Amino acid sequence: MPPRPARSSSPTPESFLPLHRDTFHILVSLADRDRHGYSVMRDVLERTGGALRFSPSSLYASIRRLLEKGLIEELAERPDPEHDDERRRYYRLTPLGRAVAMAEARRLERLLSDARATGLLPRRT
Amino acid sequence: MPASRGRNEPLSARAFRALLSLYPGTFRDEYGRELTLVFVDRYRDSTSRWERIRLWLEAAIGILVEAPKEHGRMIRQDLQYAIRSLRKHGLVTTTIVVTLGLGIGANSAMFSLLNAVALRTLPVSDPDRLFAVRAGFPLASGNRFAGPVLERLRQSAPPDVAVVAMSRVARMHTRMERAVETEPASLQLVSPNYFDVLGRRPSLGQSLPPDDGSLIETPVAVVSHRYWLRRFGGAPDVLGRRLTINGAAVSIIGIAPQGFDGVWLESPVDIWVPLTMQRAVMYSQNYSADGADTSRPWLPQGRIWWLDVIARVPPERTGAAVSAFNAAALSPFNGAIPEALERDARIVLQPFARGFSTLRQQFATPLYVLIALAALVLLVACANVANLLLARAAGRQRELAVKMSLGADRARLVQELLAESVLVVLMAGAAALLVARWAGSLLVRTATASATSQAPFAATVDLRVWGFTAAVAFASVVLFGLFPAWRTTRLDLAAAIKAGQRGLSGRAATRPARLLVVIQVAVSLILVTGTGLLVRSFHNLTNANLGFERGHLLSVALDPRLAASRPQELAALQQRLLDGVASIPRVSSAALAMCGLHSNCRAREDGYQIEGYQAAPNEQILFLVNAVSPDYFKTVGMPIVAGRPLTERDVANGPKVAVVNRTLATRYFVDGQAVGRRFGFATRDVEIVGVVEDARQLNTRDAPVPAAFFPMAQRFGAARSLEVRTSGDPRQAIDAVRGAVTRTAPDMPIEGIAPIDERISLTLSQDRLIVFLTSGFGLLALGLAGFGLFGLLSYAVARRGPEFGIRMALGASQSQVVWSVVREALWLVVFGSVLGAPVVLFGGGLASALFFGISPQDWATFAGATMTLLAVGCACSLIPALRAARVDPLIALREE
Repeated sequence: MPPRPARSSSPTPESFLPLHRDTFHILVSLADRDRHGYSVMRDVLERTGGALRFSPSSLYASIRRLLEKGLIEELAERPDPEHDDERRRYYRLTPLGRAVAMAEARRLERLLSDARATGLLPRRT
Repeated sequence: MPASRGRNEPLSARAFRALLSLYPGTFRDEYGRELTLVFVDRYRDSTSRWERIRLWLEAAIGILVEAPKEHGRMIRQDLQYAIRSLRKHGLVTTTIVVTLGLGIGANSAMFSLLNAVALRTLPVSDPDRLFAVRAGFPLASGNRFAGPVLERLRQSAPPDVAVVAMSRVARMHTRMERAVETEPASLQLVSPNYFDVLGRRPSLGQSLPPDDGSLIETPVAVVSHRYWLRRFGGAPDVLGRRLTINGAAVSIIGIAPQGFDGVWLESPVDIWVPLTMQRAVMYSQNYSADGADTSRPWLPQGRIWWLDVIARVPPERTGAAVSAFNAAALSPFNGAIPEALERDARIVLQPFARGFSTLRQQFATPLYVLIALAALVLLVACANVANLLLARAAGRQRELAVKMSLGADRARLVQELLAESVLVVLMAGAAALLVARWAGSLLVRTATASATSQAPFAATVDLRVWGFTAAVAFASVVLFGLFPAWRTTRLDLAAAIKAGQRGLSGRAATRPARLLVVIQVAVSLILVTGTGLLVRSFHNLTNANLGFERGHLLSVALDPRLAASRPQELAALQQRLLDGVASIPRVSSAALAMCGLHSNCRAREDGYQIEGYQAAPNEQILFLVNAVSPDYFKTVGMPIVAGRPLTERDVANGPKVAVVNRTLATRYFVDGQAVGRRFGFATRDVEIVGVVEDARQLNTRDAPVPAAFFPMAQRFGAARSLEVRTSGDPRQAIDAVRGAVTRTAPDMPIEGIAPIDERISLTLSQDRLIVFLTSGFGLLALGLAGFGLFGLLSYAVARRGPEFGIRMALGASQSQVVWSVVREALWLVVFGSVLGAPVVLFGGGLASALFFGISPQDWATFAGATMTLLAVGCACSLIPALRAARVDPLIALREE
C-alpha cells in the first residue's frame, strides 16, 4: 500500500490548532520515533499514567484522520525488522505533522506561562 | 502468533473480528487487521480477569461509537462527490430528474387517487369495527332493508352491537329562512344514533334526538361543517335557525365535526335529518318496492326496501352479531315482507372501514390497471435514465479502472456510483410529490365528473402516498442505478485503461444500452396497444346504439311536487307543463318520466307474477320500472315493435296497462308474444299493450334488462324528468324550455337542463379519464422510448464514426450507411415488439373489464401499435443515420 498523499493545498500548522487531546498525544508519541498502533497506545498510556486509554477503534479513527490530514504517514519499510512483527503498520510524523505538534506545544506553553503570570500556578523556580 | 487467522487464532480475536463487521468494508479492509492486532496485544498483556472484561467493554463501546461515524463519513464523501458530478453534467442531471419526476409522479398521482378511492378509511372512531349489514343472497332490494326489518335487527342486536340505518344521499332544494331563492343541497336520512355510533358527535349543538319509536316526524337537522361554512359563513348563531327542505321546515340543531362528510365517499352530505322525515322531505329514490304504497311514509312499511344498515361490532363479536341478526331476519314477518325473502334471508357483515362508494366498485379495478400502466411508464423512464448513466459512465471507465487497479474494491465503487442515483431520485421524488399533489385533486374532479364544482373528496398526499412514493423511488434506484453501476464496474482493467479517454468502442460498449432500448420498446408496445384499445373502446362507448335517439333530445330534471300545493293537483300541473313545453315552436314533442334517461335514477320492482310463466322456486322476477306520460316513446325515439304505445286513453281509473321491452317479452313469453298477456303482483292485473325495442336507459355499458313502462296516470309518483325532442340543436331550445317551465310552475326549481348527449357524456367521465390517462402514459412511453433510441443511436454513431468513414472510403454509398443505421433501429423495434407481444396478448385479457365492444386481442390495434413503433423507430434513427452518412472518410481515417 502506497503512503497516503497529503492534501494538495498547503495549510499552515496554526490552522490545525487547537488540537484534539487524542491527536496531540498521538503526535507526541510519534515525535521521538516511528511506532505501530499498539506502541502508540502503550506509550500514551504510560505517559499519562493510565489516564488516557485508547480503545482500538478510537485509536485507528484518529490515525485515519491524521493520515488524511497529512500529519502522519505510513512507513513503506519497517524501521527495525529484526525486532518486529512484519504485519504491523508503522507511522511517522510528516514535516507538517511535526510543525503542527510543535505549534500546539508552543500554544500550550504560552497558556501555561499565562497561568503562571496570573498566579494561577506557582512560578517556575 | 497472536493474530494469525484460522484454527489457531484465539477465540478473542475471532470474536473481535466479528464485531468489526459493523464497520464499512473499506475501513475494515484498511485497518481491520491492525485493530485486531492491537486488541490481541492488549488482551495478551492484560493480567487480570477484570482487565480483560474492561478491555472488552472498551473495545465494544469504541466500535459501536466509531463504526456509525465511519459509515456517515463514507456517505458524506460519496454524496459530495455525487453532487460535484451531477453539477458538472447539469443538462443530463436535469433530464434525468424531469424524466424520473414525471415517471414517479405519474405513479404517485395514480396512487393518491387509488388511496382516496379505495384505501383510505372513514374519519370515524375505530372504523375497523364498522360493518355493512348485507343480505347474503341476491336481493331485489339491492341489499337495502325495510323499516320493520331494521327494527327487528335493532332489537335483536347483542347489547354491545349498535345498528344504524340511513338512506342514500339525495339532492334536495333548500331555502333559508326569509329567503326566496332555493339552493340544492345533499341530504341524508339517518337513524338518530348515527353520530354516536360513528363516534363523530356534532362539534357544535347537539345530535339528533333519540328515537322514541313513535315514528312521528322530528323536524330537526344536523348540518356538515363544510355546509355551515358555505351557507352560513360559519356563523355561531346558526343553531335554532330554520331551513326549508323540499318544502318541509326543519331547525338546525347541530354542526357535524370538521372533516366529517358522511360515509359515502363520492357524495358528501350537507344535511342529516331523521329517517322519520322521509315523506316530509319527499325522499323517493334508491328503493325497491313490492306491492307497496310508496305515497305513504316508508319507515313503517315492510315492502319498501330503502335503508342501508351498518353496525358497530366489537372485535370477536361478529359471529354473535350475525347469528342474532339472522335469527331476527328469519322469524316470521307475518307477510310484512315477501315470503321468498323470509325463507332465504341470510345476513352477512361486510367490513365498512372505508364507507360506501359506487365509485370504488366501478373504478378500483381500472385504477389498479392504471397504476400498472404508470409503473410501466416508470420502467421506460428508468431504462432511459439507466441508458444516460451508462453512456456517462462509459466515459469514466478509465477513471474507474485506475481506481480499481489501485485497490478500490468494486462494492465501494458501486456504492459511489449509486450515491448519484440516490441524490437524483431524491430530487425526482420531491418533484413527484408535487406532481401528485397537483394532479390528485384534478383526477378526483375528473373521475367524479365534478369539473366545475368542488371535488367531493380530496386525494391528499398523506403518509401512505409518501410511503408509496418512497418505495417507488427506491425501486427505481434499483432499476436504473444498480444495473449501470454493476455493469460499469465490471471492467477488463487492461482493456479499459488501454482504450484511453474514449472508453470501450464498438458494439460491446452499447450492448446493455441496446437491451434497455429493446425493453423500452416492449413496454411501449404494451402501452400503445392499450391506448389504442381504450381509444377504440371509448369510441364504441360514445357511439353505442343506446336504443333511443340521442340527437335533438333535451332532458330537464325537475320535481313538480315542489310546485303542487296538494298531491291532487300534481297531474294537472304535469299536464300544463307538457302543454307549455310542447307549444314551443322548436319542440316537436315532450314527455315526462319518473326516471330520466341516464340520470342515475333507477327503480326496480320485484315479485311480479307473469301469466303463463312458471318461476323457478327461488327465481327473482325483477323489472326495471318507469312511469311515463303519453308520447314518451315517440319523444325519446324508442321504436314500438309490437302493439301500441301508451296514450292519453290510459287514464288513472281505466284498465291497468304497461309497455314492456323486448328483453322482458322474450325472456318471459316463450313465443315472444307479450301483447295481450297480463302480469302483476298477486292479481296479475296489468295488461301488456305494447313491446318497445330494448334501450340502455341507465348507462351505456350495462346490457338491457327486463323493463316495464307504466302510464304515469296509473302510478303514484311525480315525474322527475322532462324529455323534450327538438327540431334543431337542442341547446338553442334550452332558454325557451326553461321559460315555459318557469311560466307554468314559478315555484319549481329546475335541477338541470341539458342535451341528453351531454348527460351521457357525463356518465362516461371515468372512461374518459381512463382513456386520457392511458393515452398520456402511452405518449409518454413512446416519447421516452424514442428518446432512448435516439440517444443510443447518436452515441453509437459518434463512437463508430471511423467505422462509417472507412466503409465509405471502401466504397459504401451514403444511402447504404443511412440504411445500416435505420435498419439497426428497426431491428431493435422488432425485437422489442416480439418481446412485448405475449404480454399484450395475455395482459389484455386481464384488463378486459375496461374495454367495451372490442376484444382485448384486437389484431388491428396491435398491428397499428407495432406500425407506430416502427415509424417512431425510423423517425428517431434518421438524424443519427444522416450524421453517420456525413462522416468525412479522410477525417475519420486520420483520427483512427
